[in-house]
Amino acid sequence: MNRFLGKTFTLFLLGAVAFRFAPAQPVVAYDIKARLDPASKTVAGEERLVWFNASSSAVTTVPFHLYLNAFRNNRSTFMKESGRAGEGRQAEDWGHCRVKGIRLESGEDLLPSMRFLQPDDGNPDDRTVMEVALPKPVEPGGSAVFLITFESKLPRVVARSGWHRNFFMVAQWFPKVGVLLDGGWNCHQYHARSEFFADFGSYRVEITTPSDFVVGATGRRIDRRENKDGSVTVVHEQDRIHDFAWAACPDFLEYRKRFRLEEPRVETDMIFLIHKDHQKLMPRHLKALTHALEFYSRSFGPYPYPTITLVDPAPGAQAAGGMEYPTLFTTMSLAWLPSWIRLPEMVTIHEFGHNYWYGMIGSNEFEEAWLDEGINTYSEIKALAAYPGGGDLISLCGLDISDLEQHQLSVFLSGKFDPVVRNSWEFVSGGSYSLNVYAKAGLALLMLERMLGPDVMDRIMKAFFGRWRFGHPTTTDFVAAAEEESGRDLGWFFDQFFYSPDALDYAVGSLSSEPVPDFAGIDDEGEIAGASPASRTTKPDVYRNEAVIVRLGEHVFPQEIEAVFEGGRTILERWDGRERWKRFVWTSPDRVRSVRLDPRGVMVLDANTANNSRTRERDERLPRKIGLRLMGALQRIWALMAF
Amino acid sequence: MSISRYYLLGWGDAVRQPKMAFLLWVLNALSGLVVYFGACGLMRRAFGHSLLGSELSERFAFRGVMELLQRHGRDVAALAGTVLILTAATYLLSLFLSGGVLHVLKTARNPKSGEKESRVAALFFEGAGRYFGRFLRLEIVALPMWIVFGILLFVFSGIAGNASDGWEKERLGFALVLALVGAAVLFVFLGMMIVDYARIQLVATDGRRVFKVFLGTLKFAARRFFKLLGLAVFFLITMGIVLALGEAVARLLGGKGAVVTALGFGVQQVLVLALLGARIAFLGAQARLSERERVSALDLPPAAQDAGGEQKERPDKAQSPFDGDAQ
Repeated sequence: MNRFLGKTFTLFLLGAVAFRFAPAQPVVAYDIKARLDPASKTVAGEERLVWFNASSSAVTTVPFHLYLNAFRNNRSTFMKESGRAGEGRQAEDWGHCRVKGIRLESGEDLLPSMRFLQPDDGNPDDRTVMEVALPKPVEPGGSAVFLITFESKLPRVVARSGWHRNFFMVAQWFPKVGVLLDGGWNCHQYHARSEFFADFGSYRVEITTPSDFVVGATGRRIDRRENKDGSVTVVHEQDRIHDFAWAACPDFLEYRKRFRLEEPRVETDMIFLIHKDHQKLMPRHLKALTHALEFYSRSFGPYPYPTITLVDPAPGAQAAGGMEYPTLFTTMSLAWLPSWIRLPEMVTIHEFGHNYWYGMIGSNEFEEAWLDEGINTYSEIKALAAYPGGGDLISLCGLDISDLEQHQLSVFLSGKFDPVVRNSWEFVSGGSYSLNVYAKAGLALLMLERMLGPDVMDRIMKAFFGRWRFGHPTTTDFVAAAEEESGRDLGWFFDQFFYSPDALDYAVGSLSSEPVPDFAGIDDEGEIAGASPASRTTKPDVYRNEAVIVRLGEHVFPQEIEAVFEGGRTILERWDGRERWKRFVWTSPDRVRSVRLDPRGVMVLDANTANNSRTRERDERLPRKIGLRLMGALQRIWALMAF
Repeated sequence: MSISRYYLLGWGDAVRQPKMAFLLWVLNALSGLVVYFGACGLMRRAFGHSLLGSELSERFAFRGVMELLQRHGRDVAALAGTVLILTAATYLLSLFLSGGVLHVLKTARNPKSGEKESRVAALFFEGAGRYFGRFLRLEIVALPMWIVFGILLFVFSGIAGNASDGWEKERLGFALVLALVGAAVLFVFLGMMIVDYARIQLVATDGRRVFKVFLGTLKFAARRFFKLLGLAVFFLITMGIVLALGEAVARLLGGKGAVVTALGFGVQQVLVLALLGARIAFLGAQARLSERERVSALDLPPAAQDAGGEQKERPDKAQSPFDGDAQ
């Protein structure tokens, strides 16, 4: 450790060593002073960054993310990719992050060496990544201390951050250093479909706002002071995190409630910043967050931070909603939303869940977004299914739509263009990105759970979380944890469902049951025996029941086939599913009534569930019911319209 | 005369025309059967031999909707297209049918010598043919009224948007959206009612000056607005009751034995017949109200009216084509 290492950083390192599951060393320590000017929508900042070289190579340049420059003009990569380049915007709607000064604490001015990089697409108009050259290399194990002054002009709320009237969501707002991996710097541009990636470390941030503003921020508040100029400064700090966000609005109502759980041991302060127009939704968010804290702590590991802050964006600022930051997230509220639509609950649970899959498991969201969104979708489906009082997303008079079903719908309605694992900006469209990294990945994990059993999956998730908490795991690390805990080779599973865009679809191709004819012809004694089939008058003794199972999709998946016979007898068959088809024949005195694939409901990604079963005789109840109901409804409408 | 009495008399007119109601039901049911067979075919193609179909017949399963959209989107679109075409056809047919209905009601209350009830079908189609062209022109003449209603809704929507701060006052915005929907329904109903009264007047006077009749009807509707609306409320309440009964019966259909389904289907058709009867009754009541109050409201010289606009005497009594047992 060299001389630049500050006291905070030393304490932080000690804390990390003491922490049992911390595989990665803390790399950064930020100390930021920020002042919000609501009139100009600007945050003036001073940043002191201690950066530690935890790699095995010396570095001579250091890149920084300047995410807000995505909103600097309509030529940024973000604006081009999102199709917003042609949108009309007022002058005050744009945003930027301008570095006014950058130097080393030792005095060397780095500003002259500053330049903008475009490592992903070479777009010269994109200024979301900057780089400075160091006067001398930082060796492995060494560190550098940067002093940066910057000005962040917040955009009108767009893509997770910005202002709307007197509401401010201040996110991705300060110069943030890239991540140094052994292969070099990982510092991508801000893309329309990308989220973020940063190193773990400690943050201490002083936020100054006008005194009427209610402020919520990452981490715990350690100080609040009123200034002579009428402003108020709050100080927050938190370690073992990789980002810092805050929100401010005079119309927030602040609620606090202590959450306690005995097993595993969890104690944390739940802080709710609810916009005054959404006050009535507060009990719903409280119930959802309480459930989420309990569910995630029990399922994956205890929530370790002293606070969790829920921010409810102001009406009209929905673009800031549904986003995660360490120990703070934004939810979604609409004042008129009835209780049978559990959208606020779903968003609160999902975004809280990101404190695990993103917050503590710091995967690279640019390159493997499924590791946070997919795993969190899987967790969200399970958490909602266990929601007290019922967790259907919509539940009204028998019309129930579960979270699982809504994710299945998004997968089924999609084309198959992209695999799950792909750089986020390389997906063919925003829809393809969303359905793959959220829905398809989440459902694939649910399939894995149903295939391996809930106990094994529980072990896998706990092991993965435990090993990689406060680290940067990749897909390979997840597969390794899954294979180790299950004791099975799962490469075939991940190759198909995570690295291939193909589909899974098995079907019952045909089903028949024919009487086995009595013997006819020349028997072993050379006699001609048997009557012609036409002369038979009695019920046949034996039937030849036959089902042909076909594989219509490219993916191969082991199959269970359940045949149900008249009288209720069932037979369970198994097939490895590799060939394109397989014939099953059952010769028995009873006739087969139906055949069903996947009776345990493992194949949640199956592209067509209607063809997963077949009855020998057609059930006319549904056509009759739908036909009559539709006919009746239209007849009534036409009668109203009549003459 | 009170509006409840108009309505009761209208029901009397409807009850006396069972053959006409039956005729209208036959046309309605024929269209319904087209949809029935289309929907049955779609369900058979989508779920014919699947256990998912059996599950869907017992309870709502979102998976079924997913499969239908994903695998049979074209079939669903084709069925939806058929429904739209049938609905448009019903609308066009209504121009034709309403002439028949009004002509039958008019003739029944003012029979010419030798006309008997057994000639209902002939009278119906005679009236339908006679007034179809005029009613078609009436629809065209009424277009500006619909445009004005559309503009009014647009203006209301703008006002609501401003009042709710660009819809950001969410509760107020939601209430205003509901109010806008209510206003839209009111406009639609009001427009249909005005066209109804214009048709009644065209049939009553056997006139051909459609534009003049429409303008007169607008004035009449404006002067007797609440009375017309009150009568409409009676009709809406009746419709609501019949529709609720229909929905209750519909829930009994399907998923049960064939006998129960057939029984339910029969009751359903009786309810559709009741709806058509209610519509005839409403028309009859409107015709009576128009006959009795329109002259006093619009056509009499001031001297013939008292200070409150009430009719002092009915000089046109002898010529009233809808004249009957309403006095």
